[in-house]
Amino acid sequence: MKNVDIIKLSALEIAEKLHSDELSSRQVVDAFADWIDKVEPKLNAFIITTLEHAKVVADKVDELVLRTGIKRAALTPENIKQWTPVRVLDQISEVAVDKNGELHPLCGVPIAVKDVVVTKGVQSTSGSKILEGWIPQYDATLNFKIKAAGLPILGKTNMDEFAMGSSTEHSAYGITHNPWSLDRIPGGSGGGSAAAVAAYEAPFAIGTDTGGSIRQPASVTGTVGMKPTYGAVSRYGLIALASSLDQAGPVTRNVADAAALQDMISGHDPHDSTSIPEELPMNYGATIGAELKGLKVGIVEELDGDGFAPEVRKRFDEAVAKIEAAGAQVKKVSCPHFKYALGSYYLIMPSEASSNLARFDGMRYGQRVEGETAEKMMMNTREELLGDEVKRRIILGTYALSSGYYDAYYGSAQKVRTLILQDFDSAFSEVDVLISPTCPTVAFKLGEKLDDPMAMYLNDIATIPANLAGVPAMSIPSGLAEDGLPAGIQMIAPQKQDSLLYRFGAALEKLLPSIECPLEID
Amino acid sequence: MSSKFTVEEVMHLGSLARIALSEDDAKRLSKDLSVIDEAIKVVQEVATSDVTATSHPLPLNNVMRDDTPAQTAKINDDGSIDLNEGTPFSRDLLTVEEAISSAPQAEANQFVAPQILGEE
Repeated sequence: MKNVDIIKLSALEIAEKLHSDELSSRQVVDAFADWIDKVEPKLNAFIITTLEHAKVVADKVDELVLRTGIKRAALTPENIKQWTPVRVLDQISEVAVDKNGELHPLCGVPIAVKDVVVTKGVQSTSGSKILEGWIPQYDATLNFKIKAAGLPILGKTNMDEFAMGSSTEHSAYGITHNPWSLDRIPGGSGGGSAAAVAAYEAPFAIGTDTGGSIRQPASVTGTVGMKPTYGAVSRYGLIALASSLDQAGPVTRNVADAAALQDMISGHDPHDSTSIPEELPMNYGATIGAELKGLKVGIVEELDGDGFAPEVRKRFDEAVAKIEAAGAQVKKVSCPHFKYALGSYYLIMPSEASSNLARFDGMRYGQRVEGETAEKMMMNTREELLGDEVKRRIILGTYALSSGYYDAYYGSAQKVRTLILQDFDSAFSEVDVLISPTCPTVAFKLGEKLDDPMAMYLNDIATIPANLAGVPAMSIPSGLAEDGLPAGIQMIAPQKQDSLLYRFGAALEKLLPSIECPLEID
Repeated sequence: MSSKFTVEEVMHLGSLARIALSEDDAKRLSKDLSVIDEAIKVVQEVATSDVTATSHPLPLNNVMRDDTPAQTAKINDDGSIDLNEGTPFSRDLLTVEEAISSAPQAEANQFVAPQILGEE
């Protein structure tokens, strides 16, 4: 198989070809490595690549399967979710086997990881200068799971500094370009993961979503992005932005891959006290043979209107017509408090961020700028090494949490969360799934909104309610809209019903126009 | 947009947040702080006293565990590691050397900081 064909395979297709010995993991990693070398100068989707180590892991997986007779667990939905590592075979590859002595069914399929994820032995910066050169001593739980499952990691993807932004222009490591149009933003904060997956630099990737940082980049790059139910994927080892909102999830080119990846990285983690203790239903299993028939679907009335571009709305309306034609019932539902979500978010997020980012003080890890006293050292370090948008949100949060304002600001914002949860409860008493466009527009031009934070924030208007309520939400491509660029449709389900969303998404995906990133491939 | 925040007030917030803001930074931020006033105006329309606050989207109870240190994983002769049952990630227990290995400055297994107490 030619490299150009390998990189276009989905993650599950690669897994099938590894199981049938049609491809080796090393062949797959080499194909992606070659392509990354070619397109990275144009895109800058990665802060660092880790291709040499990815090749070591791929070789190890190939060797285990071909020479030692250790088997991959069969590629079934049950195994993808339930495989649990009991023994790490060596400390270099860190590939593990389960109690049956078998490898994870997805072993050997490469992946990219957002730089917000703490990765042992590999620089983790969260897009910030203050963490330049930091080599963590431990792994985020989800990264440990990826390594134990034997997935070669291709690199750490670019992002807005500390995940603050909707364009990846606030990274300390340069901007990432949208592979559909290099003068456009790839979305943010996870623009690197979305661009890498859209441009075939990786079959799938990890993102994190605090107000839309998985879904908005997915929408503007024509990829699939899923924010799981809050607590479904461990937050242990994610560099925190807003702890009550943050959630990690998959970035892929189709719904089944996203389901399989979520199944692999999710599950209860004693290291994260907000992790959901019970086991949630299988996601990948729910995508197989999925149909829309019999489902009740609600269009959120409040997520429409003047700010939504005509062709984005048109693609959305066409999707709605197809959902109805496929036998689902569609009705409009009202979520009257959604219009307060943005205000609530821009009180809660900076408040929690200002508290979380206090740990970057130049004392125990990261960079330091000297000062005569400890306090002066901290002040110099944070002034010099944090970016403008980060300082801005820390100052906003410090103000909102300062003495005498806490109840009026943070407290009031939390009350709006209650109202938004009630809106969702009432909507989900009538319908199974809610839908809206993911973003009001297609990708905007690089630099266009950099000087207007409020205009930038409006991009997240449809994605924020799901974070405030902790419900799962997914974006899949709805087709091409303004300027021939991709648009997305967002689907939202009740808490812990991620599998319903995967079922709905997998069925809908088949009905929507299939789009392919036009990046020139020689 | 005019701001009710003075440069001095913003500088004070900077010192609370341990950021040595420049005056230019403070000027820019004094305008940006009006954003939060807009947000609060909108939110307070509906955040009335009869609405309870939600701090966390999922109703979870306090999570308790025994107050015992984690164990390091056992490394076998062949270099493999058996993961402890039930807590596969307890291999993350750091040694003192590991904990200080990323410090900007360290000495004798301790973090080195500039003077902490005031001169007076």
